Amino acid sequence: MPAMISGYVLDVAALVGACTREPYPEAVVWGIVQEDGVIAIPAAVLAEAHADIPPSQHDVLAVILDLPNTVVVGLDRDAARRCGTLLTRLDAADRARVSAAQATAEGVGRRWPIATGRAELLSRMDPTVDADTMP
Amino acid sequence: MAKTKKVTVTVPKDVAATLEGWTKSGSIPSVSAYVSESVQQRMSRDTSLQKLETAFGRRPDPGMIDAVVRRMTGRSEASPGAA
Repeated sequence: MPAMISGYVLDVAALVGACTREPYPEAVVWGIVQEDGVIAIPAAVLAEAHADIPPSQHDVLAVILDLPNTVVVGLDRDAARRCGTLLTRLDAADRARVSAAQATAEGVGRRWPIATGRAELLSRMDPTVDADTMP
Repeated sequence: MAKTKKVTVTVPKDVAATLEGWTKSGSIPSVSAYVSESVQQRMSRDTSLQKLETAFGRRPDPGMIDAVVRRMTGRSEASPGAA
């Protein structure tokens, strides 16, 4: 009987943390690989994280992105529509949080936890989200 | 197709019986193919963990890893035998 595929969605804080020696995000990445799980990184999250990761740590980011477990989820037409629907649940001031919306959409759609530093924001878009808050 | 080399491995009798049964029922193409694929998957995982250890400069805290695995899999304990 085939095992069910499991994994985690990484939000910006988790991806940045894994590249900057923060213990819990490192454990998230390690644990997923140890269990042959999938590391789902929404494209909008990757773009935002790229801006926050110091150039000196880009080699760590490259290692994570090159893992066979890692999937960068594109922001195509359908994904953009799902993100837009989620963003309508936020106040106008928060409507630019595209990376948070894509992380939420991927986590809820896959029924996987999201390693995040903004659980409250994600829950406002979808209260069923499984947010694993960075300590 | 990659070149192959015949090797002999020792496994518990019940494991051998299960693999032979799966082969007879057609669930797997052959014991060799099953074992080879399993070993390659394990090697891929261990290679990835070695790359992470080099990139991180350490292995993460085992307690934190267990917490992540439990959350991801819904199991009460992480699987043993990580690299």
